[in-house]
Amino acid sequence: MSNVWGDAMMEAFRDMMKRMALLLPKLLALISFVLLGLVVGFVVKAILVRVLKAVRFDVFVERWGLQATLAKAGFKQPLSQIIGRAAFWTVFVIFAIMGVDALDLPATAGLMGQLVGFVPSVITAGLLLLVGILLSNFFAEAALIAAVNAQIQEARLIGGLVRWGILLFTAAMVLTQLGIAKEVVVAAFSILFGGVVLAVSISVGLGGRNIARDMLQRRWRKDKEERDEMAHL
Amino acid sequence: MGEWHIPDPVRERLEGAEPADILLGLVTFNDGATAPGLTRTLAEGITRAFPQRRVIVVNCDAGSQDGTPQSIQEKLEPEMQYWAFRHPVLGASLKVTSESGVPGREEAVRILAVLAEKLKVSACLVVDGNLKSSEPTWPQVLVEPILDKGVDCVLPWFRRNRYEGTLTNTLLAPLTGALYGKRVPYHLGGAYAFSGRFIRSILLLQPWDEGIALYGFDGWVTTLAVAEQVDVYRAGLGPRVQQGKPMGDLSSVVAQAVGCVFHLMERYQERWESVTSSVAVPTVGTPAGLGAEPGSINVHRMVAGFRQGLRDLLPLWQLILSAETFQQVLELGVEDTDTFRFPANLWVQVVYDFALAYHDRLLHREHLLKALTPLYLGYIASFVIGTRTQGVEYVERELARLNDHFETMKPYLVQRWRWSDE
Repeated sequence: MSNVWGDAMMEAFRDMMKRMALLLPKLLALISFVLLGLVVGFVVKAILVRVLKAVRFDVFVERWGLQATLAKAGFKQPLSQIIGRAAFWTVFVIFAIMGVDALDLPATAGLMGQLVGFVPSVITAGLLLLVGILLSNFFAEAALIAAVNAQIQEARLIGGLVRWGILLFTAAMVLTQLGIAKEVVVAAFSILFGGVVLAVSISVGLGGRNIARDMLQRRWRKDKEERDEMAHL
Repeated sequence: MGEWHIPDPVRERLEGAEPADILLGLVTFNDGATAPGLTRTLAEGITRAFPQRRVIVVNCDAGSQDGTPQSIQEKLEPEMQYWAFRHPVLGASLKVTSESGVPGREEAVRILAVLAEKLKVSACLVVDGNLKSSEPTWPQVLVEPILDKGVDCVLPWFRRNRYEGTLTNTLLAPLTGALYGKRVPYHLGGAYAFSGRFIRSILLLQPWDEGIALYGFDGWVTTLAVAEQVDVYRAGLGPRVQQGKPMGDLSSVVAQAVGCVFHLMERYQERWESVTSSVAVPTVGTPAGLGAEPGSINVHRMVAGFRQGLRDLLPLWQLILSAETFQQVLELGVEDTDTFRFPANLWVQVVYDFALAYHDRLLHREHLLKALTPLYLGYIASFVIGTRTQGVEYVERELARLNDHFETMKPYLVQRWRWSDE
């Protein structure tokens, strides 16, 4: 009996040691990947931030109004720093997932493959968002200045409508690109856009026809009576 | 020298052509009502003033539908050499506005300059075909300084009413005077005379496809004439009466004219940084001066334009203007139109801040230039309110004071320009 107990103990101990012997290298691999991810992440961040500073990236971003937009969204740091930080976390997450993959757990099998497959969509969506924000700033500014110079009192409203119109369109495209509730986004955007156009048509056509007529008459009379005949140049 | 820009009909005509002494160039577009009479007057004037000189008349037309080129030929003496071409209208120049009303005018002037260079002319006269107020003395006034005194460029100086040309009088002329040391009071073109040397060594070397096509020939050549080390005269040509309406859309006019000066400031930086005073360029012909007629001006609309800019463009102005200038603009009292005052030194600060912001690209450049328009309206309204009950001499004195402000405050511009370059 004591032999059976002893054998059972030894076998359990040997099994445990075997499992530990299999697991420890994998744990070591995970820790190595995490540490490597931290180091590579910092290096990539440092190089990227230095390159962006050298090409005066933050200056261009400020000129295009992107920095002001980010500040309103709560990102007070320069965009080069934000990009650097995003690059660090991207690299770190990639290495961390490689480490998790190294554990060879059934639940995480193929995780790396899925993540790599998703990255192009994320990058495209990010670029779409950036272009959308830049375009919205540019056209909103152009519309505002043109409306002010034409002495249209609703200049800020026009500028705002242009900005938010482009941003909404951009948001719909980004969500579609990421594959997030594609059908819902398309339907929602179509309903919203169509609804706005219909509401404006009805309000101008029915409710605002007298106001529209008065505005047009005032503008027409103003153009005929009040235009300066002076040559500015 | 840009031969690839000449249309084939022009190149063919040049083959075997005899040199000439004076080229009279007419730029036209549906100017059948004015161009023939103008050409006849000028041709007679040239013949009378320079009887021994070989003259060629060249009409660059943008595609008139009223037979302008043929009408011009009918008015000329048969022995007068006459060439007529249709010049191409490039896309870039469709955005450019000018008093001539000729689309692609820059391309027409370039063709005339190339012809002048190829025909080895001593003087080239370029006139807009829509002018009604021509005199037979114009050729002598414009060309004689070139032929007799070796002057490079003679710019036109038309007589204007006291509040005409306010953008020129309150911004372009004092700014270019302070920058380059030569005061030219008229920037709108109409009739120019260039020496062959000026055409060869300066005019044909300009970026016609970019700079001139973007900003228009008039502002470009006027700024060039004062910025380059050339002899410039101004020719008093009397009043300017023309067919067609004045240029519309004030903000585009401001963007084009002011943009041209700001653009060339970057090119001639080393030259203007060292200039500390200005002189009026020599005058030939009858000095123009300002007429007494105030013209039709809606001051209330101008103040309303400024007021709206103050309300809606404040975030942009805050980006463009220095903190001190911005604060002073904010403090401008706009409660009562009749007591509205925009001080001259503040206007100069605004102009210099916009020049610096243009240089630093703080905003898209066209947006930045158009954002100047409400401030310009505010200053002009203040200027008119402050001078409308006074005589024309008072207006001239105020404009002279404004010139002085631009010069005395120039160190502000120079210092901040250099600081931003470091």
